[in-house]
Amino acid sequence: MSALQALTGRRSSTGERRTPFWYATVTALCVVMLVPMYLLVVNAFKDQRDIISRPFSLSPGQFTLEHLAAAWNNPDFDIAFGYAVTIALVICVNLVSIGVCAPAAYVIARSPRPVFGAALLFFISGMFIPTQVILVPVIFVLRAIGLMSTFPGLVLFMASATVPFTIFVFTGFIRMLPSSLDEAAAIDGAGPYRTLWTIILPLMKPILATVFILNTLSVWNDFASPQLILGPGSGLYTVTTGVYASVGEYSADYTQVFPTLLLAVLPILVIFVLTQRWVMSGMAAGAVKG
Amino acid sequence: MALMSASKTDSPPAAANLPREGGARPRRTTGRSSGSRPRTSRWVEASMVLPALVVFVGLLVVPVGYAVYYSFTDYNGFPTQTPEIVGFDNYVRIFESADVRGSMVVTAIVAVAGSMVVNAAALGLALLLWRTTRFTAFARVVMFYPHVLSLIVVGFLWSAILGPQGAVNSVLENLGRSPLPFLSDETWALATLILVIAWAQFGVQLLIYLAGLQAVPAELLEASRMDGANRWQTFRHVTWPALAPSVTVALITSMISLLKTYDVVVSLTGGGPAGSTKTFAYQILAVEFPKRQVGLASAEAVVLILVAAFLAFGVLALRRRHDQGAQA
Amino acid sequence: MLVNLTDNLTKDFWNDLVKPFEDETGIDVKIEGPTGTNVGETFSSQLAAGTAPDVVQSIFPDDQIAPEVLDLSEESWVEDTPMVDTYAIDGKRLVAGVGSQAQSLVYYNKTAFEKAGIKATPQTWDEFNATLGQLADAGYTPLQTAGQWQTGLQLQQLWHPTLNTEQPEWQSAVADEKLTLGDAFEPMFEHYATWLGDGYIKKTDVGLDPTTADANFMEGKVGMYPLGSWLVASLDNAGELPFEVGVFSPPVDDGMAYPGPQGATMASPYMVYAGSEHSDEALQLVEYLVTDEAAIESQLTADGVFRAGAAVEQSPVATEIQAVIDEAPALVAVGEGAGDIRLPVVGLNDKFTEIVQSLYTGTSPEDAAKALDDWAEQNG
Repeated sequence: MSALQALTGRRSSTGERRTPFWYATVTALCVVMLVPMYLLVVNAFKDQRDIISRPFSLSPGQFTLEHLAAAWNNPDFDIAFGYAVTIALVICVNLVSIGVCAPAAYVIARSPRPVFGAALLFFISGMFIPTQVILVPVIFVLRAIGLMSTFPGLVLFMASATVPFTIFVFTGFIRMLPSSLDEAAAIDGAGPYRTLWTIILPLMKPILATVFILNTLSVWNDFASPQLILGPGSGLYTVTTGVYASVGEYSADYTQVFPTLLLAVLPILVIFVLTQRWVMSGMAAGAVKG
Repeated sequence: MALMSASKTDSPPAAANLPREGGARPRRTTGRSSGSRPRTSRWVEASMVLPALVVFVGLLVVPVGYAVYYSFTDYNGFPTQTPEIVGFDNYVRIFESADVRGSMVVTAIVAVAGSMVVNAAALGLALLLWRTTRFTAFARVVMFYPHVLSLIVVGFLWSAILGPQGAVNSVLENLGRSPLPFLSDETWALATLILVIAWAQFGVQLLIYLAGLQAVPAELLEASRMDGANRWQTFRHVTWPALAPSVTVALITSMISLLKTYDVVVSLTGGGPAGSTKTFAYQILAVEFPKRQVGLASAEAVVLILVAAFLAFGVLALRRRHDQGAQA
Repeated sequence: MLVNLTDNLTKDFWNDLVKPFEDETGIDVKIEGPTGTNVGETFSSQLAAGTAPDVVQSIFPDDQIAPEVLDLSEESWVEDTPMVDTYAIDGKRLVAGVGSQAQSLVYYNKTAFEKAGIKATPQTWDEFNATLGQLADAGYTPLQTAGQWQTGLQLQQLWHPTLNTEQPEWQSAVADEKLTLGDAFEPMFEHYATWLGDGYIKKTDVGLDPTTADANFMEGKVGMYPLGSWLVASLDNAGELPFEVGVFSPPVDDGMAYPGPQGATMASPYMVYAGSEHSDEALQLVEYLVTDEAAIESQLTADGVFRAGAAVEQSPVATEIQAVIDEAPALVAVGEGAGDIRLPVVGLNDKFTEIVQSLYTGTSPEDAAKALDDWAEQNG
């Protein structure tokens, strides 16, 4: 049973019977999950005094856009710029990751040479490396090749962190595809690059989507890598490092905390709500089958 | 993205549910049976693998090598300094220094207790949201959404809610109660940290269990109900055995990802109060490295990599045993 | 240039400060704030990353940093900068500053003292304890503390005059193994633990950020607030306060001369990165920052800095601080020390704050002192 079906399946013979108690429990749990978001939204429109004295109150009459505007115009943390950098990172990391992994996975899946079986094991072993803790030596590597504190350096490191998993799932997927397809293409005179591009990649759409979603979420939410690799000198910041710089220093000024956090999460939440079916089934596919 | 990496170790080759072509068994057979097609030159093949290999080796394998090397030196990280070999000093320090030991204990508590909480919440909710209706689909989205927020934001948000002047305490104050030390007492802060991580992260585990529940044979459920088994008996004898492998794997994989807890510590507690929430990754990135203890930080990284690898191989072994058991 | 960004020293402040220099020389100065928890850690990380800034502000050299920064001894303008020789290491002047900041001050609420019936500021620890009790009885928060870096700092500030009377140059005494850190601070840990036990310090302060602590004091709810002279800038900017602020030097033990030595640090210290590709420009910038009159004046007023001979109009509180400084029998190094009078370990302040915070959660003063000694031993 695929994860997608798990989420959308129509099985009805199983599961809890839906009593009023069940409804009450699930509703209460949903409320618990949503309270922080409620606080984030309503307090982004209030004054400090109001936030501290009545954080839960909802009185639109007293709402002010002043703090939200101030957060948007914060000269130290241009949120739009943070978004631009983060989106650029997401795109570049996905391009590099898929770009280097697809051909490699294709060869590993198709070539009869045993060396590529060993290569697969080598790549898979990289999945055990907790990327955050090797950031310190990564800094020395990037320093040595002159990419420290640069955007390409960050892209390369983030992409490398995705390589083991991506190759692993790509290889598994390609092995499921009938090799008669490639053979037919080869007989038509297509080289392996063209076969990959015209025959295999189009068939890989589902796994590409899964990998894209997993990579995107991990790049979007990463804090440690941009914090250490970009540093203050690059002049670049992502949404996460920008939030850290502008909120960390003023964590008691709630008129700065709430609006900044709201602006930081709003777009990603909107995107998530619009695409939740794909994101959740992609996550489930990666999580269950990865 | 803790859970993504957690999932990585869940090993059977991808897409077992894809339509199987011509009844052929998947895995290597399709790849190997291609003796008849024209051979691709080894240089072309090498050129296709090389870019991935370069990126992977250059930025993952080489840094691990650096970490191992520096862990035996007193390097402070400055380019002008030459590292001097100090043998196992750094490893001895890991176990002698109260600070490092403390962060190991914190990490172990976060990993063990955190994965318990995450999995208990995920399993409970999966059972509650098992059936698919509009309402449960909505509830699943609500349970999952914190996962798309970065942990750094989650930490700041909760610290604004639970801090000494945060939303909860100001309500308590208005009610005339004394404030609760969510972030200002050592034990409370650690518990708060674990619960906040759980709040933000259990969504993926929930998806794993929801998918796992689909493997529970419907006929058996039906049969046990017909036999007059109550809900608990049905769960104990039908659902649980079918779900058990997912539970084992999900527990250990979430534990591996919790070993790396860093972001949320930075934004929620800053490691405090009194260093009570400093995790191992925090110790490496926010304490030893900025204090120019690159040798010690590298030794700590090596230890963490070994622990993660040990757990990961544990998962693989468990998984293999389960697969063999299933085939037998 | 990597600078410290605080409530007082905002990015705008720094940009305005270097503007005339940029206009005059045509050199473009880029201001960077720390990405780590503080400037010291960020600078170390940047040195390791090979991306260190040309100029770094707010931190002092130690044995590892010393080879990484330029020796300023040859520069003629360094001669007259404040405290430059106090901070010299092995005779090398590596750092130049704008003035000095007093580190051991207790700000107090004069209105609160009147209402509580306190006639004079306390000069001994017994009197200080009595004062705390009277303030509590009158309904004030007797002593305001805060979390983060401030917890440990405030305790050091309160103890400094006593410690320096008992053991002048105590950092050197520790380095020479005549004194342990634990022994040096255990009596103060005991005072502090008593205050926590008696409720004179709120246990929730440990989770409070320093800005909120400042605000609490300025709202008039607080009796006494120990802090360095930089608070005066916030006080002056706050406009009309609901009470009058006074300042006194922390108490000493019975039988010691009051006031004790005053802790002082070089304010707004600047260092030039030795690997800088623009070291000439960097030197010009530092020269400007520590010798230009307008630049000095704006730095003095922005962060509660004092400099002999600088003609800056002072607020009443600043005048009181000046008086405290003038009355002090000596100005001494605080924390890890300065120049050649230094502890044999680095990273004291972070660890110290951690240990003081553990007092809030029930660690005994003896165990806290022991933890301090253990740390010094494991990291020395």
